[in-house]
Amino acid sequence: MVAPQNEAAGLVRLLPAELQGYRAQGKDEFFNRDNLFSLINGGAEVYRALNVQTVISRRYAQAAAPDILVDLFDMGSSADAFGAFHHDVREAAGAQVGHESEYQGGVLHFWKDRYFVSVVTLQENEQSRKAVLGIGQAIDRVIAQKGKKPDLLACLPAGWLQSHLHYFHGATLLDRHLDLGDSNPLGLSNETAGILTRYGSSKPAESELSLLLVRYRSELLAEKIYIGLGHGLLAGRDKDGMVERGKSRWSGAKRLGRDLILVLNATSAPAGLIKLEQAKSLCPGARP
Amino acid sequence: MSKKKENFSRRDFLKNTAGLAVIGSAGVSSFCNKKSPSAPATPMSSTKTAETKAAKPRAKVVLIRDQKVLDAHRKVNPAQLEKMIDDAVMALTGEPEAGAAWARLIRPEDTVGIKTNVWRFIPTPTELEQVVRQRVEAAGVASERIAIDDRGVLDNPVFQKATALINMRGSRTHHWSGVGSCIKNYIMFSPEPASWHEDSCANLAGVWDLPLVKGKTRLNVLVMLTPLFHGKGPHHFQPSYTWAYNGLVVGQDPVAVDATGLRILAAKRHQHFGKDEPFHVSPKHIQVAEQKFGLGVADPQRIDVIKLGWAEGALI
Repeated sequence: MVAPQNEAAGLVRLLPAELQGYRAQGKDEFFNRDNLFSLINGGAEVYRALNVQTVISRRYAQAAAPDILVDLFDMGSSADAFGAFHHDVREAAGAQVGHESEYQGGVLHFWKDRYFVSVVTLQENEQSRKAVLGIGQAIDRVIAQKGKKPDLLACLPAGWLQSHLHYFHGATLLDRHLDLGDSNPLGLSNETAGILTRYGSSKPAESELSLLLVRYRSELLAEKIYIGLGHGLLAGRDKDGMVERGKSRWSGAKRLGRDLILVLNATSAPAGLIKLEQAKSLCPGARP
Repeated sequence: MSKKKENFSRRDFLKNTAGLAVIGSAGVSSFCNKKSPSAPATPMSSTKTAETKAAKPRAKVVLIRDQKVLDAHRKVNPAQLEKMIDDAVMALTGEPEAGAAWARLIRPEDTVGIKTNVWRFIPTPTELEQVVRQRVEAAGVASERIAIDDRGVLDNPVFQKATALINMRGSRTHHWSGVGSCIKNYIMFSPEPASWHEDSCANLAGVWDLPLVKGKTRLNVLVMLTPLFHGKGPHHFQPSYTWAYNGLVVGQDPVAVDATGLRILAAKRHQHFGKDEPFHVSPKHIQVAEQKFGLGVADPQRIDVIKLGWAEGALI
């Protein structure tokens, strides 16, 4: 669990030694993509799928107060740090920490620059809540760059649910949120980048539609996938690319350069088509 | 966001687990019958063998709760916890005295691995580990033939030679398998734990067929002192999604123990969210454990729950 010395030093400097009576306890632990399973029981795949580089884990303690555990993930890029934060549904209030944040029930998550940060108290009370936020703010101050959200966000028509926004590369992560079958019909890999979001209600049964954007490494590959969808997931699509899948639920796709845009579960073909066209007009590939 | 893969009858399973009335302690299993002290009790049910019989197998678990086992800061009261585990084992074996009850599970010549769980947010309580070690020693096992371990079981010489296993871990929802409970606790017996993660860890019960494990488990203790009923983030832990349930679910059948724990978590989710809130990842490995691997009984209607102790807020 030892990171290269320069990486370790780089991460150590981001964490406060003490704050509000809490002091670092024990030795810092370091993890990489190969041994992340020993830190995260069950969820390491999420961060591995988003190219995690190094993680520092530190426990803070003070007498008669619940411990606080901090894990700082160097994701290697701000897009992947964004992805790590948005893997979970983010329905709670932001905490004005980092680029985006959420505080809920004793847990602070935020991302900034290439870092995703988790600050967790073992029990929430007023003292530990303040300390959790304080530690987050201290880390926030040390990270100089804010970081950039994924370019694909520019393709999203207005009205998407901020709480239900997921960024992914391979099928592993998308499969956590959306069942497209076991054959990876979108040809997702670590060389693709994608966004999944939802419009309307946050409740799946009431949701108007989901929008999925995937950027491939080449136009050729995007076209190949687009054609393949016509023989599989979107078999029977009409001239506009729409097909009814399920009762009164429409899905469809458009390709634009190396981007593939899909709508899923629209309540009508025109509703889906409008969203597709809106996204198409917003994608950078549509501009001269 | 709810996961949509529900090809296994997740909804049916959870509908059952959340809505059934408690069956009570009327069920009598072969395990309850007196056996020779030299013959350790073995899991009472096997779907594989029972398929040839007319009646489907049943299982028995003990749900014991104690209002005083945790203080206001959720610190464990060792004496209360000791009484809980003894009472549970007595109820499970039908023995009126703790020493005799433990002797039904462990023989003096056994080599015993106590498989715990070190997950830093809800570890197996040290107090429970120690009292179980004491009980195993009191059953006549030499201390050098007893080990307590989690992540080092594959390299632990006692576990390598173990003739008996005791399986104890905290109850929680889980990012990858729906819930983390007794079946899943043996994943560290696999040289490649991640290889079991496919399809929401559906085939986890296969771990129980590994040579280091197969047929050795004498007792399963699902620790529900402060269970986790929901989670998010890297560790899938949020203190506000835990509660002081102050319970243990104890049994020989790991599937029945897990299915009972699942009912409690499902009921708590219903209570908290005000509606049936499906687990974000299907805990189907519990049902698969019965239907595919014959490891035990997953159907709550065939699990006899003996409820002892504090009744308020039991949820099932």
